[in-house]
Amino acid sequence: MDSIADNYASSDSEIDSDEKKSSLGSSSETLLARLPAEIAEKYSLHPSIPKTSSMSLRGANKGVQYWSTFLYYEWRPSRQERMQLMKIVENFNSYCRESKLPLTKQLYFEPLHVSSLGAPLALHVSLSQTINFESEADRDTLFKSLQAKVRSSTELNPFMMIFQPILRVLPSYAKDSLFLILPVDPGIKNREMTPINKIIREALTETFPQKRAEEIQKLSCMPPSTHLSIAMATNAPRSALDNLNILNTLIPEEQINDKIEFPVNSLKFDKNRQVLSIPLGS
Amino acid sequence: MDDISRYVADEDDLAFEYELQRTPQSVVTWRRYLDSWKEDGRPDSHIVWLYERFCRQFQSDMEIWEDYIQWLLQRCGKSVEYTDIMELFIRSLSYCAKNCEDLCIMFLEFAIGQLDLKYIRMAFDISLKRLPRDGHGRVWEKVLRFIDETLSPLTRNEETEYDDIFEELSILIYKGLFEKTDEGNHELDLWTSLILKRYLDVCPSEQRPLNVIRIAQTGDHDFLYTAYRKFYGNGPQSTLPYSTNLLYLESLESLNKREAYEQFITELAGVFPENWVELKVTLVKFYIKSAQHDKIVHVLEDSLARTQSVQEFSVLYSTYLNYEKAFIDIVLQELKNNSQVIGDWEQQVESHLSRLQGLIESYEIRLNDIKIRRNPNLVSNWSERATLFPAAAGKCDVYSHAILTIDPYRVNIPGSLGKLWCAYAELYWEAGDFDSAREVYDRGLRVPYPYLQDLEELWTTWAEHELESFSIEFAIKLMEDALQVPENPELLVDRFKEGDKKVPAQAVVFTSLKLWLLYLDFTESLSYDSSEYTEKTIALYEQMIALKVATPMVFINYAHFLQEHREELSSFQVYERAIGTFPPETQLEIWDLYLTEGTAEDSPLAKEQIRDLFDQALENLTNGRIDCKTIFLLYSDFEEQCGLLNRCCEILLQGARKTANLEDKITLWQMCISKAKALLGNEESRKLYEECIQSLPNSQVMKFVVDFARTEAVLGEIERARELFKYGAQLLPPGRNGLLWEKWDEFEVRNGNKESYKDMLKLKRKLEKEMRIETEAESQLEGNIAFVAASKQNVVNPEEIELNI
Repeated sequence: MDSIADNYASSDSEIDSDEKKSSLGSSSETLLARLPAEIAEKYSLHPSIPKTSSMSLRGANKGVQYWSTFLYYEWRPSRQERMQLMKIVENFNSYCRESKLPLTKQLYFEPLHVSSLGAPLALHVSLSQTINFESEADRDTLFKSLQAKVRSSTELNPFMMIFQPILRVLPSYAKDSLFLILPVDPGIKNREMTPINKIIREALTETFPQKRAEEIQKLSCMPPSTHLSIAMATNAPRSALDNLNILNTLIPEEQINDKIEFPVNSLKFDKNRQVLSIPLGS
Repeated sequence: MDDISRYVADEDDLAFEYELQRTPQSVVTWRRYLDSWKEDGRPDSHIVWLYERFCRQFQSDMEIWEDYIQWLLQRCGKSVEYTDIMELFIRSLSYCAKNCEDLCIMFLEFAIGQLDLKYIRMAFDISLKRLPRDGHGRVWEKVLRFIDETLSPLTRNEETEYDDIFEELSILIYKGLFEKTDEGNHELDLWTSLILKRYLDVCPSEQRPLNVIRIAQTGDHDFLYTAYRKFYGNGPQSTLPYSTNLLYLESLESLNKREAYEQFITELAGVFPENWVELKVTLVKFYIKSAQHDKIVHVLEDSLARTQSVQEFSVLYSTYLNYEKAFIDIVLQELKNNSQVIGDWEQQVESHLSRLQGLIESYEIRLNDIKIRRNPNLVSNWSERATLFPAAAGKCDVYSHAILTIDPYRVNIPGSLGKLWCAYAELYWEAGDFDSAREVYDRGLRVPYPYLQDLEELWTTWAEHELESFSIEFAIKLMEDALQVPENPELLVDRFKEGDKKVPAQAVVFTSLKLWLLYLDFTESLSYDSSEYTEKTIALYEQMIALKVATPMVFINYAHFLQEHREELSSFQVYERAIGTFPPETQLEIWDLYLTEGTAEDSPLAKEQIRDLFDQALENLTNGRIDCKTIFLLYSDFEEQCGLLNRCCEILLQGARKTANLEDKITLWQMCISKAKALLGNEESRKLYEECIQSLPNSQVMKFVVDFARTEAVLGEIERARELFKYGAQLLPPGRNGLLWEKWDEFEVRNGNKESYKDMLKLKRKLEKEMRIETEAESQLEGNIAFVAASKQNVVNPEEIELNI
């Protein structure tokens, strides 16, 4: 990662204000607009590749073929924001390395806003777990339902996602890795995250009428827990995973000096390899 | 009757008069009376007087009226006015209510012949009244033919001819903007229109389209508008010819029904899609005429964006260009000539000027638009478009639009889409925005390509850029990432091959030789300074071999790499593995290198090992029917260096015997004989010469015969040498055996006498004769083809074909 970090300093042609716009058609003579969001959304995921002999050409196992989606707010950090995030992660890694506690010494976090090959990546505030469907039509039903509800909602409008200036560590779903996260600001959780959560739950209930309320609740991310993962430590030691509460209390509060925020204009919905956008307040 | 004395002139007349007094109903008497007057040459007025009396007597007899009229018709224009005849027709028909069909038609034909619309109309009306319904067809036919042949050409509007579209548009713009004329003032043929109105009510439905054309030609647009709507409704009709629809369109224009016009022409373009361009131009002209300039740009821009061919584009672009030019030209002239002109003309001219400039500048781009519309998935169209934008930002827009438009599954040129992504990333890289460039590469690698070449293009370009701008380590990391080998490589390759483009090329990136070679280049370049990279390079070679992507050249490079790192024995093992991997056709080159390196001075291989290798090589290759001259030569050299001279010659002899290729065979014989002479002495060469001469074709053997003879001469065996020359002389006709005869000549001069020289010449003459005769005899054998000289007139050749060229 060091070489990638070095490269950031040499790249200076990106301008933040430009980045916040969709760049199609808005070009200047001297500065190049960054890769349009539409392209990033069209080719969001790598194509699926058959892995075993029993897999069909569609890339899924013949016996348990399913479709899935994932709901989230997306942030494509600008160069300056990426540098800011990199600094936070590096500082936290330094803290872990220099700490006298064996619990943190073995931790090393890789940033999530940049790929291992140095390509900038988008970060997500998850609004749901991965949702699986038995048919493609069910997934379309959820999308249409969300679209209609978001459109008709008076409470959902574009807003600025703000984070608490603190770092926390959370385990992965498989409990084998740790994520370094920024919790969403409490005010945002109350104001903006509550209505979207309600809409998602309602849409899920409509799509899966047979599911119980608890199951629906499990599929969505409840507002109090919403956060932004900024780095990941793979192969985290067992001791760290078992003592997360202690670990979190040990993290110094003064890790973040600058405000971290990004504008939210649309709800993102994964569909196959592309991302669909549902604009807020349209 | 007062004037009877004027007409009754003689006794015969009186006799007829008395006769008529007695039998007034006798048609015969009347006819005889008329005939006698006609024979006597009485004045026409007398005969008319008599006919009138005759007709009065038989008022309802059509035959008599017809006779009278026929007589008058002969005098029409001379002693009789045509109007009198017309009146007579009317009078006669007023008495006849029945069976007057012929008279009616005669009247109509006469009226039409006189081109008198009043009487035509009267004849037409009377005919329709008097004739039964089934006879109306004849009447309509006459009148419609008159309309079509005589009236329509008179009322047809001649299209104004313009030199070019610029002139046409200029005039239309001027008229529309500055010359407000009464559009309703046009030629109108009401006479025909009224007739056609009546016809439209009775005509069969299949005749209606023709009638619409007739109505249009009368200029009665109100009637055409009403009639069309009555029978066809508001919209265009596919059942009517395109031109007929256009006539209705003209009526809408003439009646100034703007909305109906716009709607109709739009729908018409849908009904007749092949005419859509022409219709758009017509619509533009309509807007110009009606001074609706605000709508023109929209129509033209919209139409240009729809064009699918250069032809369509040219028409619309030319209209657009000429419209803008004409507008500017006309308005500027008007402003110059008339200072009283009111309005924001200057502003308008400025706007048109700016549009004209844009139009000229965007010509190439608009042409490229057509190509892209026709095939948006042909990447070369987008690449061509990018070249039309000089600035990087413009190119960026083109590439991003291309990527959003192109469906990777529909791209048919392997590697082209990958190149487009690379060109896009290149823009950022050149601008120093490496992050964005990497983001482009990263997204480009997520496209489900049907062809491996696209991914190869992206990975290699990205890696080369990282190498040039940053570090080789990063380029290596990229290659490492690209060439991750999956758990089940063979299965994936099979899936990809069977998948019919449904399995993305990402599944088989690890089979890319191009990427492996690049990866090897990177690691090899570092291997001279770092043992870590030496091991890594070896591991890569091994991985390629395991994945079966290694070519013979990869094996050879691997062997050389090991040799450079002082691993000669390992390198020879690589050769061994290559030989075990590839078929005999490919093995020769590998063996060649292996044995060359294996027999080198510093080779760690023992002589016996080398001999075994040579034997193995020759066995493998000769069993596979591969000519291996180089291996024989190499083996022979090796044995010579080892001091085994007999073995050295023996190997060459084997080679000469086993090699099939004639050129190689001759080389090996030459080498074999020359080595035998040099190493073992001239005597040893005798048996080799003999075998060589017998095994080679006559055409190739002469050099060896001459050499053999020369060798014998050197050994003092003059007679043997002479016999050899004699033997050689009989193998080919003297004409084709120049070398032997020349050398024999020299031999006899040096070693022979007059007698032997004469014998030589005698033999030569004999052979010249024999070999020629033999040739002729051979060709005359039954079944053989023979040329027949054209000069031999008496030769009968049944196979000869006479060609008349």
